[in-house]
Amino acid sequence: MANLDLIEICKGFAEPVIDRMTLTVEQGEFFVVVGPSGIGKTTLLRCVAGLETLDAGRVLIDGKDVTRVPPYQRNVAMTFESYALYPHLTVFDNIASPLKARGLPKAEVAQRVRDVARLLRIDKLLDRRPHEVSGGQKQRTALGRTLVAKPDVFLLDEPISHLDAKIRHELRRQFHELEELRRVATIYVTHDYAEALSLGDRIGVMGPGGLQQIGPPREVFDRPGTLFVARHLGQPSINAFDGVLEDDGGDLRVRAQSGFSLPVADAHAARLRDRNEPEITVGIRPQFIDVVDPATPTDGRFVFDAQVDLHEALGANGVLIAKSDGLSLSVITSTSAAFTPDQPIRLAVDPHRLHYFSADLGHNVLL
Amino acid sequence: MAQVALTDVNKVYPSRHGPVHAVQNLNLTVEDGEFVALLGPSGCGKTSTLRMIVGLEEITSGTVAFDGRPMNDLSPEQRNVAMAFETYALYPTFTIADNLGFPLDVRNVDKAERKRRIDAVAKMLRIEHLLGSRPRQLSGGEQQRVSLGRALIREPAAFILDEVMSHLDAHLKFQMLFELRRIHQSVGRTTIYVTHDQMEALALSDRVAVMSNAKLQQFGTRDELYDRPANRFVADFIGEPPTNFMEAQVDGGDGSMALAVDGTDLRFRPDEERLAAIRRDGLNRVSIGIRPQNISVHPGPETAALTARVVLDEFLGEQSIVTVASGDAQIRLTAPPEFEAAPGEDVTFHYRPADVMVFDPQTEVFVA
Repeated sequence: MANLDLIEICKGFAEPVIDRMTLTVEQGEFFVVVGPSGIGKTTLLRCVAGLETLDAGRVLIDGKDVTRVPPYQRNVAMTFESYALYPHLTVFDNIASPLKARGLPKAEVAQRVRDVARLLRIDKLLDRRPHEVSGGQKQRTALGRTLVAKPDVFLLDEPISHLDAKIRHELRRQFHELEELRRVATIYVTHDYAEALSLGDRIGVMGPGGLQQIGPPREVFDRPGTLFVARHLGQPSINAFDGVLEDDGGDLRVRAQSGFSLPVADAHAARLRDRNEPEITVGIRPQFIDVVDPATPTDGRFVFDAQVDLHEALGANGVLIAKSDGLSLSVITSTSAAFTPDQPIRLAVDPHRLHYFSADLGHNVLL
Repeated sequence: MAQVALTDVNKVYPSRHGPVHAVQNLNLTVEDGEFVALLGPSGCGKTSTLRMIVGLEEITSGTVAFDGRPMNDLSPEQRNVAMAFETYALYPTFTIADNLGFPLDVRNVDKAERKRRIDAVAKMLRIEHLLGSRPRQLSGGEQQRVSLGRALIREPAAFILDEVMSHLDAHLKFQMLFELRRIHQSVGRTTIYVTHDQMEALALSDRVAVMSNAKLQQFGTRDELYDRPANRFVADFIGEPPTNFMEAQVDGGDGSMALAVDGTDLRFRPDEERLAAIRRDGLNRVSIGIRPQNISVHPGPETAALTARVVLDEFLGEQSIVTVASGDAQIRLTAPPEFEAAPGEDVTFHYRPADVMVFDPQTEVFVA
């Protein structure tokens, strides 16, 4: 049981993947790394496990430098995206494999395997082989093999992303309930933002070179530090357009090249004026644009005309693609709403919900 | 363009353990220009069905007809159906233009016509700027569009798309959904889309054919599948987060009839239409299904309220999913993202009596 410290770690192949990353995951913390495929999330886990040699920096477990300690002496357990179960061994023997490798007495091995299997609700499957169980059960077996080792650090690589939506809901709940996972330092890697927001005590959004923002899920979602972070969390992605700030009789507006424009909230105006930088990227999340009819009170929202481009009912809600002054906007709607292409509609936005990112580096200028 | 009609179609494969009935008495008509998804878990018979439509698999009995003409004895070429697969299968050494043009080359289409059709398809798929590139220079989404383009360029009787998006990551998939929908709107050609992903099926299709255990379970629009699922399987398979199911006792007389959930003190009161159906079928016990998005933490018009203990509050960005428990039952409900509740707290939740789905606990058939 220990903290995990990464200090200024660097790892690259042809190009740098991790560039001077520093991170502490505390004992008992469930830390989720979220980012697009191919960004280096698995490389990060492999560095912690010792499966990759660092180019620079140090890895500390329980305060001890393990940078040069081989993987099997680190007391780190890692599950892989592909489960990596032994096909010829039973579920029992797969879970038992790390204990057998350590030469533990048979009775203790059996006891620990049974405890873990009960916890994961696979205790009735112990005699089966991997090809005789479902995808979700394979994942639980792989997880069982990780849990049984009682490591100091858990590393979980996309453990549920290849499973069906329904099983993902089940397993997400299980990750919340597994107290074993909540006693050690865990890094969980996923490309699925909803999984990250649901599971993480804190999350880190990984972009080129490393983590772009670290924080509690709500904070990162509500106050994205960069446009990259804002884009990666949320579906459909945040609406973003490049615009220019301009004075409109004392009030500040932001205008896109297409002609579309929005008023800037008073609370944001001073900050934006102070920057003295007219070019800006504006972000607005699809759930903060509402379709309104003329009778709806505006409640301080900015109301503008638009046309329907496409509308899809997607299960629990619908997504509308609307066009306004040459700009295309995604809007989350209810499924009961009906729209036809080219139908004129009115949309409303609360200017306080807008995010502003610097046009060059994409930093959130209001933070 | 064509109407695709399957009548009493069966597929039986011989195997060492005896014949395997992969598709049973399938009746399905896809109208001309319609976009239909064939949806089901792996092994449900959707791939066998698709292969029989295309002509890659012999039809054991029954008829596959295009515009009323039986196709059973025609080869895949003669049927003129275009297919796109999960794997892009692009020629790595050809340019994108030549990859698109290849299906025309094997049909000896003249040069000017070939160029016209390549340009038209590229424009529709927004890949005009890539025509001179090679496949490896393209992203996964772009390669997928080229692969679709190769199916589109033939101007076939029908399109068959087989799990074309299953390995794209979520963001890309989302964009492709809209892209495909847009393409279908402009091409307007009969399309059969095979997938195990209900979100894709519902988003894209005019109607969805849900298959399980070699049989068609239901063929209908999104609203029909959501609000009047034929049976418990469909109610469970369609919808995310998954539908809540509970076993319940029919309780009380005419004026106060309610459904008392086993092992809890929760009593659901369905609306009059459902109650009438329960009486009609003389049911004492029922299975209740209620969708998480039909249970709210805020009251609405005509809602009824119940209380349970919070087990889990998951913030997911655009919304939260709250899991509550009462006795042995766990129920998921959706809440706005600003809602926060700690495990152990009591929460009152609200549902519309019309949203309580009732199933026969024995046959699992939808009652009302």
